[in-house]
Amino acid sequence: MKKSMMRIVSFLVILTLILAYWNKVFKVKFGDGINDLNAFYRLEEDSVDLLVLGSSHAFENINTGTLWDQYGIAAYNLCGSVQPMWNTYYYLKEALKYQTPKLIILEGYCTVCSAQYSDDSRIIKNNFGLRWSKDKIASMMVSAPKERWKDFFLEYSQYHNRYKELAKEDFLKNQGNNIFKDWKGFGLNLQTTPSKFTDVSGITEKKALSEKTEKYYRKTIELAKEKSIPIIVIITPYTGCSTEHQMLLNSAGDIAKEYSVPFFNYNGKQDEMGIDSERDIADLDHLNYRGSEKFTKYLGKQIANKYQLPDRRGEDLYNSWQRSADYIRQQICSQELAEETDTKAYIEKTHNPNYWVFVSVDGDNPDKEVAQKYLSTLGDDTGSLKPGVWYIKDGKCVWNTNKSEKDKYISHKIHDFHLLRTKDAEDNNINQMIVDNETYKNVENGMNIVVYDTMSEKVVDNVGLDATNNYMIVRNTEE
Amino acid sequence: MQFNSVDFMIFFPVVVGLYFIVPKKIRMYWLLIASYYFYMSWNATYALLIGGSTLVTYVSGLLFSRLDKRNRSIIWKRLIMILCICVNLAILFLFKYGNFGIDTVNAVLSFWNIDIIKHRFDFLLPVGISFYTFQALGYMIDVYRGDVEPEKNIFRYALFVSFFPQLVAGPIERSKNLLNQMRNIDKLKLWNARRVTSGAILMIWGLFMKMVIADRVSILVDTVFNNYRMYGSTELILAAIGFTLQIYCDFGSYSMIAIGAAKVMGFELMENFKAPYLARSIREFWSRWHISLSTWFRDYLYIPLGGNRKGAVRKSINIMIVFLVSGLWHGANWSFVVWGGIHGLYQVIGDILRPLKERIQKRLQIKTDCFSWHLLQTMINFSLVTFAWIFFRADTISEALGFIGRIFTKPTPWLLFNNGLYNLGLNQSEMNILFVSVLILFAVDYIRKKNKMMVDAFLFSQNMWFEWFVIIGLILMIVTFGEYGPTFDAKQFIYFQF
Repeated sequence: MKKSMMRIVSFLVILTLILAYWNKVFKVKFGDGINDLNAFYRLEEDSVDLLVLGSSHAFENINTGTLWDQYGIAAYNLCGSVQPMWNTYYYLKEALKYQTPKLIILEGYCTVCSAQYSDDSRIIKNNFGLRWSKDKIASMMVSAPKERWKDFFLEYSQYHNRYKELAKEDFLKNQGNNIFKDWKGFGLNLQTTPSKFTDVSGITEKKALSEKTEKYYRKTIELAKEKSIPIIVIITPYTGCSTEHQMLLNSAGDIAKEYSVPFFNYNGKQDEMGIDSERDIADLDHLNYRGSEKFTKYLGKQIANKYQLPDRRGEDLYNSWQRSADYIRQQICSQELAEETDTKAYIEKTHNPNYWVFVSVDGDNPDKEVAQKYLSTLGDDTGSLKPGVWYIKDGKCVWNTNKSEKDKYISHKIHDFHLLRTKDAEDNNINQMIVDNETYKNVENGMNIVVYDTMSEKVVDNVGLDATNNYMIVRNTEE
Repeated sequence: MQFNSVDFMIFFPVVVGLYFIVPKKIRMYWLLIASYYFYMSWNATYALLIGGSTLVTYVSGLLFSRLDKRNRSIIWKRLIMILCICVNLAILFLFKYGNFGIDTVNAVLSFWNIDIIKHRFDFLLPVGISFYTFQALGYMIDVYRGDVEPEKNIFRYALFVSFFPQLVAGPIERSKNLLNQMRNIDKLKLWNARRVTSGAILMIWGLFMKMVIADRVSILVDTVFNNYRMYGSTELILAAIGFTLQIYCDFGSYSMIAIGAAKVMGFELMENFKAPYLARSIREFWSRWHISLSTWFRDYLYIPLGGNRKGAVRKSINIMIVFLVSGLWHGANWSFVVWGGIHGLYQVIGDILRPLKERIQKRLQIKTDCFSWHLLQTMINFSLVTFAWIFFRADTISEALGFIGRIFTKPTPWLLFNNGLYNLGLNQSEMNILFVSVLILFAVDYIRKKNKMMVDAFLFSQNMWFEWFVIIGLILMIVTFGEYGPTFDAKQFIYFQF
């Protein structure tokens, strides 16, 4: 009896461990809801001074890196995609189990939403990241219709058939993406879509919020009040604000006032912030990386002193905020590099301590002087232009095919690089720059440049400088 | 509540957990409540039907006993038996064959342009009605024959008829086996690790058959059968083979889970499938396929009809009757009758041709005790069975004939080479999963046939690491590749409708 029990227990322990690992591999890993909570749970208790709640309007428009860089505010965006108010309420409940922020910002865009239930993917994103507790159960119950509860309570059943799409990321810590290491919930939107703001400032009419939304909007405010944590409701600027939205937001403002909670609708303040509708808008709902920085500076100025949010820069406990801000800045650098069209400026931008730059000089390069100048600026120290491949770090040549061996293998974390000068089938010399089995080449005559960022562990850009067109930047846009 | 549903995943552990801890005398009542709850989860009102059937056969059993004691004439007993059979079959016919009967009469009358019966029955077929009706009738006949003692405790008898593991899709248990075990329910030693583990392994294997193979291959089968006019020989043959696998893995899995679930609770149900597709003849196939039904028909129909005791012609007629009835038992459609008829004919023709076959084997000096001959026999038998399944799966006889016709008139052999078969609802990775799963099925069936061991016994005969490796592997395959979850339209076990 004892022996058989031991045997069964051992089997069950092994099975449980395997299933737990299996579940970890298979579970959905969304940045806009689930990873947000995963990173939140990793924070030191009571380290967050500013807790931001809401939907993508909050996590894409409020840049935690800027708040840190400018004001030293330790902020965390605990948000979810199109997050309904009921999920926001349970996110706050969950957050307050671990943190006691000095200020809560509730981004109130989702007060305009009237659906009783979100679509399945949003139900998943706004619930599955929560740790199991009675609050999670309550959150699930309010998120999905009763007849579908079991679809969501048995989370694994939602993603067991992901075997069709499993990728390397599923097996790596933080999905092999450094952004999630010290993440503070900010989603940097790199897109740019020019879009004009609609003037809704004259709309004073009101439209009632949906019953369910209002209930949880009130509960969220009441919970903050109950815990004596200051809360403000804001509406970040978005160009898709319609008349109906404004009417609903007016009602949301009235409700906030009922509780003496400050309500700031920033639609219409874009000029004050210096937001350029040609360059700073990602889409109808979100600001891009330039816009979010401008908005956040404006917001930070308003709250930093008023709510006495401490400057945490330099404190050991807050190193991860520093790293997160560094990461965000580096992402912006890479985006600026990827958007650069001027050759000289481009080469200047490759001088970044986190970049590895691979350069191949291909073809006959008729204007050797110009080519040599660019190559030297990149980091070549030979002073003579010969076809070949260069590996440059921080503006200095580490290796090239003209110096030593004709090929080189390099590894960085999970990535492998192969640089070589070899011969093709017709006995012509060719240069190759291969990253993870992908070969990069944009021009046949000129220079090809691949920029790898060691911080994000990604190839952040690859261009060709076309010798036949005055070394203009050429990008392969086939993807 | 299906075996592969969340409801059952909750229901079963709760029932078993309480069954293990309640006082011995309560065990029977607890299982009876659980069984009726299980049945009523489909449609509560149909509990009246199973209750009615239970009551009629229970009373018949008691009456037989009284008549025996009072030494009354055999005529009374026979009358009661006929009455009891009539009542049970009347319920079965009304619910299962009512509309079929009306359609058939109308079809006949339509030859004279007469359309008399406009009424149709609009009730749902009670789940498992054919199974429990046959089980109850089997008991009644056994008591009539004096093979078993009549059960006096109506609760125990009700549990025998409604025992939830095998209630809705078999095995159709015999009173000699299951009822006798239930009579000793309070003497059962419930905690036996080996038995419980063994039951759990059978349940896991059943779930693998259902969720990984049957429900996966059904996607391909449905794609082709539902639109067979758009497909050629290769797809149609693949779909027919697919259905051959589906019906086995679907029905076999139910029996396997039922046997496993009963075993966990200390009951031994009869084995219902013994590697049927490895049979080398149709007769052997029927000794391995749905054994509980085959033996039921043998004992309660074939032998009473005279069996093989009244000459070759009568034997052939008896075989045809049994298989035509068996076909009808499977469903209220002439295509099922044809399916049964084909199997009957296979056996009758096989008997007729046997002397000729043996003469040819002798003349050509064909070795019959070697692998190649056995393989050929198995393949021929599998093809014959697959051919018959087309009638079983098709909605009508004419569709089955159309399906078969296209196999011969629309050749598409190139699809074997140009990946065209990955467009039938299962892509390449799904097909690979199916292929590997079928190989596992084949291995388990081969062991069943060669070593005469079910999967649990085989695993117990191996080293522990191998046993655990296989069980964990099966569980991972079920949770990963099993067809379930919100995007999956859960399919009923096919045999629920019979």
